[in-house]
Amino acid sequence: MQELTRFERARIIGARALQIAMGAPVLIKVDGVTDPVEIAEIELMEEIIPITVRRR
Amino acid sequence: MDKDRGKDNKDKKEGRDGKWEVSDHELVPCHEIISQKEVTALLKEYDIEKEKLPKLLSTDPVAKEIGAKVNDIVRITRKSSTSGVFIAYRLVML
Amino acid sequence: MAMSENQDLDLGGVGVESKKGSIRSISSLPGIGEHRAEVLYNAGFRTVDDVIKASVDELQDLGIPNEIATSLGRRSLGEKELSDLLVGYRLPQNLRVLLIEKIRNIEISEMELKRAIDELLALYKQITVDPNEPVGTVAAQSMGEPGTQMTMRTFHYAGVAETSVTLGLPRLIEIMDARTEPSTPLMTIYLKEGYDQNLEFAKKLAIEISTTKLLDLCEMRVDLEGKSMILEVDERALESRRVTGEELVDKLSSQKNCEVNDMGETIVISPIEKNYRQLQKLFFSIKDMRVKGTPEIKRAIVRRERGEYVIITEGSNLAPVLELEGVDASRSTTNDIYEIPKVLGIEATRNAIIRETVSTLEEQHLDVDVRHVMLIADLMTKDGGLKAIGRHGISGEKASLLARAAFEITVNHLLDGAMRGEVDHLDGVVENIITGQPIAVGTGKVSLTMKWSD
Repeated sequence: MQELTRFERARIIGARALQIAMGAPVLIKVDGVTDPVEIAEIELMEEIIPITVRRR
Repeated sequence: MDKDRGKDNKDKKEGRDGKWEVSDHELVPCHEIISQKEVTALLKEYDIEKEKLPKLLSTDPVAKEIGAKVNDIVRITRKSSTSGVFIAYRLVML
Repeated sequence: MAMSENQDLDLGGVGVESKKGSIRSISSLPGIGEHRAEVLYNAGFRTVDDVIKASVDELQDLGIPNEIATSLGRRSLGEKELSDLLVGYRLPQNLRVLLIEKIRNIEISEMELKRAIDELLALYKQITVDPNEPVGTVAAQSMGEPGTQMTMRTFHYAGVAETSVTLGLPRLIEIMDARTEPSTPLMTIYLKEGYDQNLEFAKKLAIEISTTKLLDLCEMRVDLEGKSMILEVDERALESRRVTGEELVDKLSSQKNCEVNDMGETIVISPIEKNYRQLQKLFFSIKDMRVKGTPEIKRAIVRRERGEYVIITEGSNLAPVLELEGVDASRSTTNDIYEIPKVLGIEATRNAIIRETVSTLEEQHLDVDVRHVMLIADLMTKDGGLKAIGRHGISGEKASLLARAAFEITVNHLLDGAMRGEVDHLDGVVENIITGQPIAVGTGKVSLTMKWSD
């Protein structure tokens, strides 16, 4: 996976958290985690978010 | 390209008649003209055109001293308080 | 030996499976085949880590060839060898030096060193700025905020109440504006070795370079009847300024359209065409005549600084001074930032900007990271000449009309832009703030796309 800058990480987590908050199906076992941002963070860590950045 | 032109201007102290040279000054870092091969490698590494480099005027006292011509690229070895040594490049222009 | 007894026992119980695994991983090391791996295993080495922590001698004792043992085992690496191993890594010079310093006297294997370097690289990467970080804005704020805390008291008498130096906020503004002339230009002239302990020489040089005007040496009377001027020479002034009578007469004779008569105690000078007009003209040209010294240098004093004599001048003119005998042309400087590009070049100017800014801030006990100052200095000197920060420099050259209008003299910029029919592409930060859009910095510059699985 390409390395992300902290801005890119923030942007991806933000976009994904918004989707989750609006009812998108989550891609991980949540295990009681309810905060969309936290879920998005875990998903990013597991590299299963279907979002990347376009450089330049 | 003339390879020895302006090479290491700090090292040619002998053989001059006591006149001071700009490059002797502690504020002036070492300037040297780089070869065409190095230019190509540099531009490839940074992925830029040479016009995007900072400029060095051909009328600059140091440029005159090392005999830099317009369109040459000069490597500047700066002393840096944060990283020890820092290499910068400038494009010579009118 | 690298293994503890305890672990040995543990592994003994696990059996054949883990033995195979250990041997397989050990044999992945360069130069170690399955056979040697087994030898190592039997000697008590269980993992790759155990092997690279062993000393060269230990490995050699187990029959591993010299060459392979040296590259695998721990030994003390020479400075030369260390720096050879560091070639190719993108590390700043001082980290390189620090690493060599720390490792020089330690026994370490090449693989351990590689791991240490990787660790260092990761840490280094962590503290560098990310792409899209608004470094310019941060630099501007880092300079601007301390600026508000600076004293408004502008003058300060440095040293023994002899030279006045602009300091604080006015000085900072002066540097950033790249003014043609600082309000208190000043040079520090160092002397070459062999001259730097010679007070006599320093004093002589100080007098030599400071401007001596005609009126410093004599009284002047105008003889209206004879249409001439009578100069009464002050012998003591001549002596203290080290000017001889002949030098004075010579200097006067070099004036155009006049006759000079040396009458001993007085010198009579008259225009060739004897009329009041010519007399008046001559009077004015002679009044401010420089008899001796370097232009611009009003005064020069000698001071003892860090065990050597240094000449401090009021007024600055670096180029001719550096040519003088006994002057150390490698250290002498001026605080006139505008003079340096002409004499020492643009890189020296960059250094001077950094030095002057940092010393101004430090003098007020403000702690601003040099990196901000460096960025500003880089920006000011990027085009080869010295460029100011404000309206007349960087900000005035911005491509966007709205950005320029937002900075200063809004109406003029908008009017000029309207007349020229300028188009603004809203690429910059300021334009997008004005139009209420996300700015192209930080998260605002990241564009997201779908990740396609292949």
